[in-house]
Amino acid sequence: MLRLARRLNLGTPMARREAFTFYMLILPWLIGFLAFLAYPMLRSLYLSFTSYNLLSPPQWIGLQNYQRIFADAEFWQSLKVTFIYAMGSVPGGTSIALALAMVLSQKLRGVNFWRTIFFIPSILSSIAVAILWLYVFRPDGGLLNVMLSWAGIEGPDWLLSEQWALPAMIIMSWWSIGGQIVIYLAGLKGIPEVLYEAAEIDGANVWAKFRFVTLPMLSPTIFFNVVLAIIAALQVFDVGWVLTRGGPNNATLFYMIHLYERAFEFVQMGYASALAWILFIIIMVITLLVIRSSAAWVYYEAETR
Amino acid sequence: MDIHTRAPQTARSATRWEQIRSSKRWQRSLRHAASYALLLAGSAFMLFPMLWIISASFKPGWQIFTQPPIWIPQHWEEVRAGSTNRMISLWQVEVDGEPHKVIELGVRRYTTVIDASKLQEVLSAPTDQLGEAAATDVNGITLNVREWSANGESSQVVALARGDGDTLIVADVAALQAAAFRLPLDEVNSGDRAEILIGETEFRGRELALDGNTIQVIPIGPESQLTVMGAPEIAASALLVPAESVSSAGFAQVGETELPLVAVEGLDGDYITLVSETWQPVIDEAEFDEKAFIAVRSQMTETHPLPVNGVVMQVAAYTPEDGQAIEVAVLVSGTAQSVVIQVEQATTLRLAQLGGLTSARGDQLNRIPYRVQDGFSEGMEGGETVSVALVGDTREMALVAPAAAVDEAFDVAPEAIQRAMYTQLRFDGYREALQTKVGETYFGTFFVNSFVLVILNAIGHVLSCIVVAYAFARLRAPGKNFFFVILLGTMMLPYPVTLVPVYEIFRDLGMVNTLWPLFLRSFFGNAFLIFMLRQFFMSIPRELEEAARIDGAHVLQIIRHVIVPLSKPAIATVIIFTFWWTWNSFLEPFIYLSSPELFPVSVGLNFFRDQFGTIFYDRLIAASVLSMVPMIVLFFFAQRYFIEGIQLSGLKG
Repeated sequence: MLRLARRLNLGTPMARREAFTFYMLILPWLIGFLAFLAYPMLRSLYLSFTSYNLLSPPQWIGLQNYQRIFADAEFWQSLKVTFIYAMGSVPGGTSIALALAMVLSQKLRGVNFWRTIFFIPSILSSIAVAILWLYVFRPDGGLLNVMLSWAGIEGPDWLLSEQWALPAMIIMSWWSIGGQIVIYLAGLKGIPEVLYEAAEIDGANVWAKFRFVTLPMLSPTIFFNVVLAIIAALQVFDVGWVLTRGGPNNATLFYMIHLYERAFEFVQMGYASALAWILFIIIMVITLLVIRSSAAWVYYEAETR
Repeated sequence: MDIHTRAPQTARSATRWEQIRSSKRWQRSLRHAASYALLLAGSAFMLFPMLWIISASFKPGWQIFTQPPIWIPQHWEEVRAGSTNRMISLWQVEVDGEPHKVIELGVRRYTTVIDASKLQEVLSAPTDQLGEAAATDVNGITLNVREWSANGESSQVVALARGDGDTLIVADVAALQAAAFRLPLDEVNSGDRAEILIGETEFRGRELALDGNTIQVIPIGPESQLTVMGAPEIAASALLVPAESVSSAGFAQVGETELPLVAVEGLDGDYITLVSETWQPVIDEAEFDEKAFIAVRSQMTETHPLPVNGVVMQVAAYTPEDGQAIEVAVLVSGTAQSVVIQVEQATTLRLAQLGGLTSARGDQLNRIPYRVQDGFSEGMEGGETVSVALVGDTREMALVAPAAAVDEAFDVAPEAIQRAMYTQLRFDGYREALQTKVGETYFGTFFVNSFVLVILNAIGHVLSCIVVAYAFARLRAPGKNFFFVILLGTMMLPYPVTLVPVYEIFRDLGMVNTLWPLFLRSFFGNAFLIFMLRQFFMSIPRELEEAARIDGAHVLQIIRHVIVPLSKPAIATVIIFTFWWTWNSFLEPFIYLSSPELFPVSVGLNFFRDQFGTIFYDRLIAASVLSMVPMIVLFFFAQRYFIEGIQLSGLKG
């Protein structure tokens, strides 16, 4: 016992008591972590190799779920839709958020006022927002097509058209970027003024200052938020469910809608668990790839690390 | 001389221009202009849909998707029809450039005719040489003009009749002009049929008495419909009569138009019909519940229609087993039994427009189903509303007004008519949203459920996250870093991977379709909130705890009496974030709950949309605006905490 304690570096009784207190205090989180995260993860990995309808016990079927998934056109469609959505919403949203944050970071009047305007859409529930945009996108009499008609453009059917439903949702996702604006704004404030002054002395213009000062200094923040945004975009459910239920003709069948339908409408829990693990692995791979590639474009200040 | 003096000046001004261009001030104002332009564009994108939907929530349903859009909520101007509760819309028309507010008195159809005696020459034209007919205004008269091109020449003609083979009998527009005029279609049709010869062609026409002369006319179209309008005061003398007692009674000339007259059974004189529509007998639900009773068919005589409180109902004599016969009105008839009410007791029986009874809910008395309309108001804006039961049979009723009340009338083309409106915020959408049952639940219940969840989750997060965060912030223990990395890792964990097994756990605990799965896990902490609190706790100087520690205080006492009082802003952030997430969460409650009485706002809203979304835009929009209110209010009170929490969540690079 004593040897174990020494090996664990629990020298003094006081240190031992402190360690004991530490574990007692984190116990709620630890239990929650084990019961609601660690165990479910392993359980879902196990279930992904079974056929399970919640009523009878899971039946081991090996890789059949995965084989069926990879042979299912709906799976590939949902993957395609989800990736297009992520590819549209993340770069677009990040650029808009960055541009607005840059503008706000200048010494303009009423920064708080503008920030409030940009932030409000992002605090609203995705359901209320989806319903709002449902009416904005309405083909006849919807706000968007009315405004397009002023420019002489006859707007498409948006959510009712296979071609435009997904772009409509991407446009909609750009509406809720208030959080990113706030983050970039804080990041921009953290860039020392000296750097800009130095750049100015070197004769840098606006673009050069952005390219060689702002962007490198902000890149860790941008990087982190892009990763978060990609992860969130790959798991989107609410918007697609409320607006189109995956339709028309699976044009907006997000991965999570596909998973939800398998799990809770067809009650194929094993199949759904396999879908969940595929998504988990995809997200892990993407995250790792982004982190790997980040060395090339993310600038970390030596002294802060 | 001139040249010499000017040249240096131009040179100097050029450099001056360059100076301006390169000057800091110029650059700065340019940059500012661009910045504000971007800000305005951005905020238009953010605000416009919001403002539009908020404005829409104060509109009646029909106003939301109009073309062109009505930006600000409007209300129709209406006048009350006589002593009924029917409101008649006012229309806005322009007569000789003057705006008038009028009511509709009927419609007239007109056609173009030609006076046969004034047309001498008709031609025969092969159809393949004729263009498409287009209604064209020729000196105030509408004609179906076609292009006739033959031998490189073209002329404008109007087809009058079908000729032999593939030809049409046409007349030149110029020749027609003198002969053509417009007449009411009914007037034309009331003339005697006549065979008319022009040249060698025979036409089918009518013989009419016009201004004392008998003339022969050929109707050639196009027909058009004009609305007859009159002064709003006419509505004041309106009467509600059964539609079947109204019969057509010719026309009366008023001004330049004619009014279609009707005769009403039992009333003297000529009338005009303002509106003809279906009405529904209704009775206050309170009276229905209190006084209506079930009568067995076999104890009732045959029914016959009789006015009860001014409404024609099926009335019968009813003899209960041990009592005297009483006269009852049948409110709802079932197969073997009927819901009836004693005739003298039906004091709130009245007619209501069917149009206002669109969202009636079902109810039943002894298995006999009937419908109840909540929030029924007697036409007037802002009046009291009651719940009424829909009883008896619907009736076709006509609102008529004595023709004598019309001293002026004129007809207007339909496209020149607009509803007379004034700006008014309407709360109908909100009222109806709150009074519409979603499943078996009123919308307010969803708000209660959401607030309950917010409170439970906030308690759970505050209790658990503070102690865990304190441990990570202050205490030293082997394995601490390991667990901290796991804690951070769980923040990035995709939720789908645990969705199914966690559902399984709660199902095994018997908690599906309860609120438990939606707040229980809060009591086990939340990675992001723990991290946030830890950062905050680390900024509190250790010395502040020393005194308490020396006094032998327990760690929980230190947290309670030293840390918590110093961390109020951080704890507020925890509560606010919990509010935010709980209020907006959708997938989990959607999966776990199936009874509408447990739904939080987000799921209730979606349910509402599924049930009524395509019918009641106004209600759904009002409901979603309502659902946003708590978040927006919270944001304005606690903006700082939102912003600080968000910054912390995103600035870990």
